[in-house]
Amino acid sequence: MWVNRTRTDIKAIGHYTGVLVAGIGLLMLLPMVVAVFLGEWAVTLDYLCGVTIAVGAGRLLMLSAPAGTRLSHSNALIVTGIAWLAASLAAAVPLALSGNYGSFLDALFDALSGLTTSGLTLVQDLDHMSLAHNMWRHLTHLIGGQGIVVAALSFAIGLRGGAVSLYQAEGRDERIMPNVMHGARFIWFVTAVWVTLGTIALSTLNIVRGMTVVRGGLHAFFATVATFDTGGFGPMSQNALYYHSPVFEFITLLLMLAGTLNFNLHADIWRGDRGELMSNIEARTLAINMGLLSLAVALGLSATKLFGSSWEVVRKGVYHIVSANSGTGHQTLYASQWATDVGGLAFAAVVLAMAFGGMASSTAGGIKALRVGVIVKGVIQKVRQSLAPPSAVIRTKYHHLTEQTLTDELVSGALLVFVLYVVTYISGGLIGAAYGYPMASALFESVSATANVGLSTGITSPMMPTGLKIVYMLQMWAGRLEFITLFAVIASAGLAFRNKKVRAL
Amino acid sequence: MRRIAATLALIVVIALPASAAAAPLSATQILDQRAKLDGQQVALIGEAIGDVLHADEGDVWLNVLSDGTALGVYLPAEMADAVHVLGDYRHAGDIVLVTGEYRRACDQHGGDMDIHATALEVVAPGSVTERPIEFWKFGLAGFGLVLTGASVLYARYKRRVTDGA
Amino acid sequence: MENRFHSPYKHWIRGLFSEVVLLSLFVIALALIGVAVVWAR
Repeated sequence: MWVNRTRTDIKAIGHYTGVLVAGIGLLMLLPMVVAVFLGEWAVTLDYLCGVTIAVGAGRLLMLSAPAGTRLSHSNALIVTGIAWLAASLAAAVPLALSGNYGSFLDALFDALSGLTTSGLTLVQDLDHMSLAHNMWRHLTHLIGGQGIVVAALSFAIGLRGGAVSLYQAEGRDERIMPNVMHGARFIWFVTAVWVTLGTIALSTLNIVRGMTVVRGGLHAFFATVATFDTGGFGPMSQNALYYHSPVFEFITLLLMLAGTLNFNLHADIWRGDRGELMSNIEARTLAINMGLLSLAVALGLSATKLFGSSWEVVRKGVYHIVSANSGTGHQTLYASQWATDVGGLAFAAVVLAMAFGGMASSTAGGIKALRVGVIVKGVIQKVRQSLAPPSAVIRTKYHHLTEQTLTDELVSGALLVFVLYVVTYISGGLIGAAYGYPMASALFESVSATANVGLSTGITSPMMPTGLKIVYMLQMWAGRLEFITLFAVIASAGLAFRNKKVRAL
Repeated sequence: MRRIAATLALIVVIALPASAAAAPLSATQILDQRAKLDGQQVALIGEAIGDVLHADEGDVWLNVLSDGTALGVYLPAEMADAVHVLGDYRHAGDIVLVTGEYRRACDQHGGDMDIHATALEVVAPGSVTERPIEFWKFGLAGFGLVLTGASVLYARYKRRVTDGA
Repeated sequence: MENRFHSPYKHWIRGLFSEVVLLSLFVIALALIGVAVVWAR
């Protein structure tokens, strides 16, 4: 049965979308403060426009229903779906005013890419962009990565009626703590601790290497946020290659891995249960996955003359496997090198790493290790069943936070999302190919967009066709919402449209 | 403006006959011809950007930008002293002419693409970039302010009406 | 198991430390895979 949205539903959806947009507007005060601090007055004005327009639009939307309106679970799903677009529209305003984007669409692309922690970018002349604008670009990773709703929740802004359903709709329904509010706070606590640690480590490195305190500190913060939130933006056009430093790469590798850990896993480890990391199906799947793909990338690279030495295999191969598998997308190669310089096997390994993705309940994207693990267990169970006598009952157990039994429902749920991801990966690749790009590169870029990674073969550029920009934006959006939320939004819109037509007849 | 000036400087230098052994190339040209140029002596012209980053034993990294591509240059620290202005939001960096060995995937530096410089020359000094305030944006901010104010006031008015009723 | 909903704040420094150590070891393990492959060729 399809449930139609009533006028009251739509009003509630409008109200809570407005709350989130206004929240994004308030968060723009942070880059504005940075701009004031740095004396970048032209940029300050850009953020003044951003804050007022976002808060204004948000407050206007909020008028659609009184504060504290109840939000049902299915409506919450629609709010989170729409919120990514609405928040991106708001977040794109100051970026579009920066003068570093060819059009508002390009700025919107970056805002959505930032919020979905993808990291694909259409920015121009990034090396001359102001630090305050870079602050905002990287903050979108932090806001979107921790979850727009989690962000709003923890700052406790007017979500009274809809907090719990919104929180669950955002795809973090595994509860870290019995109380939703506490869960949101714990996510921020882990994030704050890791971001502080990373920023201290990297700013020490930057300052020792000769950067000024302000630049070094801000660059360190940017890199930390972009890696811990598995985003992939960088403040310079060369991305991670700008630093030419194995120490930088090592620290960011740790941050990427920490960012791809399930927040529940963080919680268990911080409770003193280190064994969880070893027995958890997700951790095991991810570790095996990264191990096998590192093996593949090493085999691939060592066959090329260019990247054949062991130090090169580690710094170009393993680095990009972790960057891809965690969904980060930091890059120490030039985009055009992917297609020509690294060889076929390494290229394929990186595509697979992106496609699989990190852990659930983290900022990583892709199919996710939990689903891959469940599917593998399901396959093994089927084989065991076929070999056992018909009367035997085969049960498979796995450990994910608690001891769990594999059910057909779990396996089919995982397979469903798996199939949706694969279909989207391939469709996006075909669309890219239809625009005239080589199939391999188009597939790489499509996977990167859908899995919210951000590695690029160079297709993503301000000169790319507008249609393809929109396709990648849809892919980033769909990938971040893991499809079901997106379908809910589309279905509701479709139903509303159909009913209108029926009434008109 | 800044970009035009940089391009002009570029054209002037490229047009200068026999200024270096090889004709100076932009970073994008070098990247595009990476297979052919690997291991060769090249001359790169572009804007010094960002920071001079210390590497090891008196050597530093300098990133040079031209045509939208930035390329890492590895050079002795004293050679980098010639660079005074580094490109960022407030500055157009010095235009430098770097000569040295181009490595498509440097074995010494973990496969980074770089140029090991043997000479660096500043061909055009950098400058301060003016970032004037664009006044039309005040209109936009004003519009947002009015929107916010009106929405907040209307919400307050509505609440008072419903509370009163 | 019974500490499922215990406070994770109490020993967070120790937890963070073990995360850093374990993740470092994991990075080193991945690097060793790479080195081993090159060496075996």
